[in-house]
Amino acid sequence: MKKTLLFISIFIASMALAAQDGITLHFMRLNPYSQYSNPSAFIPYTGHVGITGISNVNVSVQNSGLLYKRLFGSNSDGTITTLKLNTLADKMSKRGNYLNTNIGMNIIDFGFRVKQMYFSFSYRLRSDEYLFFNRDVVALPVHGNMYYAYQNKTARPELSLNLNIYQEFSLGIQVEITPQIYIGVRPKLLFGLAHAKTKSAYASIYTNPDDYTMSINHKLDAELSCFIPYSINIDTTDLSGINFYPEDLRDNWPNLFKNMGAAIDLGFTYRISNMFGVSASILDLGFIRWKTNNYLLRSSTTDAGSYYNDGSFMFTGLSYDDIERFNEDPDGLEKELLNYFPVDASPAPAYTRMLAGRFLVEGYCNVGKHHRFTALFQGRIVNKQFLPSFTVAWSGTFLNIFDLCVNYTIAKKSYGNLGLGVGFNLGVFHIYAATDNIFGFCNSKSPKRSILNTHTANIQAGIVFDWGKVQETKHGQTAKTKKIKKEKKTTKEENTTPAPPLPDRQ
Amino acid sequence: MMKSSKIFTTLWIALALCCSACKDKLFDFDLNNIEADGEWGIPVYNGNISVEDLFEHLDNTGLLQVGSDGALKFVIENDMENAVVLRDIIQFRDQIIDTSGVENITHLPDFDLTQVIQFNLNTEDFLLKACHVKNGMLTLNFNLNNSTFAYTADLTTNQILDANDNPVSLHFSNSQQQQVLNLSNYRILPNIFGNIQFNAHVVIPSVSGLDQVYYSCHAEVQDFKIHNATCQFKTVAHELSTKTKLAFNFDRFHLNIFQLHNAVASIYVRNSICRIDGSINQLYLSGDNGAYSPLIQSVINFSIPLTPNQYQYIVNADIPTLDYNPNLDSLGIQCMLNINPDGFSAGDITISENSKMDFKLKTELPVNISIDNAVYKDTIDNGLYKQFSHNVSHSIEQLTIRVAYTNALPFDLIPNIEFLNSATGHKYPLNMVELHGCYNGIPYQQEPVFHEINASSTEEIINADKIIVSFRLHTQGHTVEIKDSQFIHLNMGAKVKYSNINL
Repeated sequence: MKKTLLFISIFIASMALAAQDGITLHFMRLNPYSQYSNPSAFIPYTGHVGITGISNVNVSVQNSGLLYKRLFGSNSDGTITTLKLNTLADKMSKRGNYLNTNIGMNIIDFGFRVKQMYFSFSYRLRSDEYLFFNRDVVALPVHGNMYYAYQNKTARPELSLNLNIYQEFSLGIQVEITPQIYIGVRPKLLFGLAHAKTKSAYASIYTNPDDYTMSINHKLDAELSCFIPYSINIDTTDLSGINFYPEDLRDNWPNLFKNMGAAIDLGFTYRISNMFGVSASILDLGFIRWKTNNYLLRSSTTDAGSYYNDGSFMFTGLSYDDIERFNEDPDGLEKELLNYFPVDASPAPAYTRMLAGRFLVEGYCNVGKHHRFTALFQGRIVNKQFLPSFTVAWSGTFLNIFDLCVNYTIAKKSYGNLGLGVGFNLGVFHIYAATDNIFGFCNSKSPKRSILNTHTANIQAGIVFDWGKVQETKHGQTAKTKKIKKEKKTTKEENTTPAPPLPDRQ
Repeated sequence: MMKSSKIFTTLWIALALCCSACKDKLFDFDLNNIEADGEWGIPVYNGNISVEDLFEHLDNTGLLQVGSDGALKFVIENDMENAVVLRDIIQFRDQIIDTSGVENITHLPDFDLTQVIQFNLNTEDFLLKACHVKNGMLTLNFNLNNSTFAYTADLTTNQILDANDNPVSLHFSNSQQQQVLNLSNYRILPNIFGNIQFNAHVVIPSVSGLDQVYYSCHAEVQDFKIHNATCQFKTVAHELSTKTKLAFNFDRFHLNIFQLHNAVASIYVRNSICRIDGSINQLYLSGDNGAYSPLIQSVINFSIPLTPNQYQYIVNADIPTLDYNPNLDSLGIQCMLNINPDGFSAGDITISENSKMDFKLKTELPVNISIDNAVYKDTIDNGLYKQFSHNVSHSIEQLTIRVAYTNALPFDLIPNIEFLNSATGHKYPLNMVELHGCYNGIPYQQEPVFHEINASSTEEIINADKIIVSFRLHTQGHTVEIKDSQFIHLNMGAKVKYSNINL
């Protein structure tokens, strides 16, 4: 019993690692990867090259309901003594709870400036997963069916999953149209690795409060695709019959490039003045056509005997014959009942699915040369769910080598996210780290647990080489006047030492 | 530069603090409590317990049947194949016949001797008119003048024919004085006097001047049996009796008086012998300890025609009231049969080696009963026993069992359920309400009853390894007819309310 509970607890707690697709890096103006959230963002370098695997690693988990502190209670020395299922069920929102994991890693990336344009190329591995669930998923097993029956309500635990793992080849072009207007575009060629999506996954259970008869119906409609060969052998008695055959990948390596897709990121920045500006971007607007090892997983309540009534499994109690049969063959009755809930896995033809796109709108205000205050609104629609968030940020660039950002984000079911980003640019060597929720790391009693107690946890870090600092054109200044000013400045610098620091992006 | 160095220092310190604080364990478990308050309710049973289900527990050997009108009845069949086999009654005795004589000779060298020997297979009770022999040995010895000279003699008869209908002819001589004839498959057609008669044609080639011969003949018939025969015979009296164990199972039923009404014992016969008259002299229940209860008050006569191919109903013995008790565990019948009651005056009768009578006594005991406080009791294993640990069972605050009945049985039922802990002998009773019987055709409907069982009692139930279910049955003095359409509908559900689970 204890082992089972321990396993369940660790599983739930591991799901509770949390944060979102990192936004803090977006505000770090010295970082060349800030363009990932807005292709029109100015890159203050002549060029950059990332180191494979470590230039930009992003791990984000966002979790709306499964918090460690809601699940576990501990004694004075920190030992977990209580599993708080009541709290977990009661504190959870009725619907719209979700767990989002977003992982990205740059394999190849580099960029270079050509006059007013900055070109960048990257090859990234990306994983984007959303699992939505409502409170009934937890409340039904914890509080029981009578909790709903007394209210004459139907319990309806429902899950919704959207998973995309893919390779992304992108070419980013950032153009300074005028000193006031920057645009950016990043077309992407995508090759899908794995996809899972549920169109429907729910069970509906109505219990009559008078005689406890139960009317159950359910539906599962999911599609799966993976570049690794696998097979699904599912019957009513074996729901774990998914077997992967990675050893077959040697013969099926073209699968890596069979699930082709395309997407585009678009960005626009308008500098109202040296002090104010607005920008907007649309990210991951695209699709993947999934072709390799596609399966449809379907299940719905089926007429398998006398307990079927009008589309539902109507359980009014066992009959005398059922009991007789149960006495003769205990497993047989269980199999018979499971026949009402058959699961069918069948190969599926190719299908096209959109990525979970995202948009950002922001306005900023520069205060002096070093400080910027930004208000940003972003949102995305996943599985018919709209996930908005709002961020206010202060970012500072100091000595032209030090990037610092502090921000606060309010998101759906997540209100206490204080972000912190730090970056050092020492010559061509640029190291940085950012998180959207520093609280996840700074509980004085138990930092690790505090990660599990936050709705949002993420870390984005890396080492990149960039060179050739480039200033942003001042508002109202043309490229020509900028060049003249630069020449004058160079002359002045020759006559006075030491030189003042370069102003950061304005 | 001062500014930047301060910032660096601050950040390093912050980072160091974060890292140093990461020493605690993430999952240091000593789980001893699960906070979960809830209530699950499930329908447990919803169905009819038919009256057949109830009464079949009385029946170990499949005696319970449903009649065409739906009435339940115990049907006890006692088959007596070969109850009467004619070949056991009519048997042929071995015969030995000796004859001798002196014959004057008028013509040599050959002459005929008539009726050198004759015999029959009749008795005073049996006249054979014709037969096809199954087996039998005829041994003849013939001797002329003590074989003092050479001769030949052929003994023939028209009463014994071979398979080709040729008369039998047996050859004798002075050196061959005995012949043995296997009569199998021969036909015997005795003459009008019922006799089989041999004549002889004698040849004496080398003796002259012989005017008289002396002959002797000896015949033996042994092991004679027939395939079939035409015959006449006297009435044969035959007693027939049989006894059947009723094999009711009273492990679960405890009865004081179990009174069955309108029982019928019927005799069915398949008869290939001839007409038979008979009488049921006794029909009774009996027990090992000498218990005896007659079921008929007077002799019942009957007559059995020839029904060689299939059983035919012959007669009923009506049993208005049968006071049954478990000590009377056998049903017996004693009949007296008169085979061929008209005797010789019945004329010729064709019989065969397979002529027999099969006898079947079929006793139908309709479940038309009156019961006075009979108890049906069954003990079943408790499915909950040891399914829950003590901690889990201890976390159950309340168990509610909901029971609703519709009683369409024509007798009152007082159900009782007890949860028995065999180890301690402790019983936890679950008192149920009395269910009135359905005497006027309208099922009695009992409103749902909720048995709310507190935590400690729930634990007693979970820890009980046996459940004793009993019904006290009572017909309120009525005699009720039990039909398969009668039932008791039981709708049972259970609800478990639980709170913190202490592990």
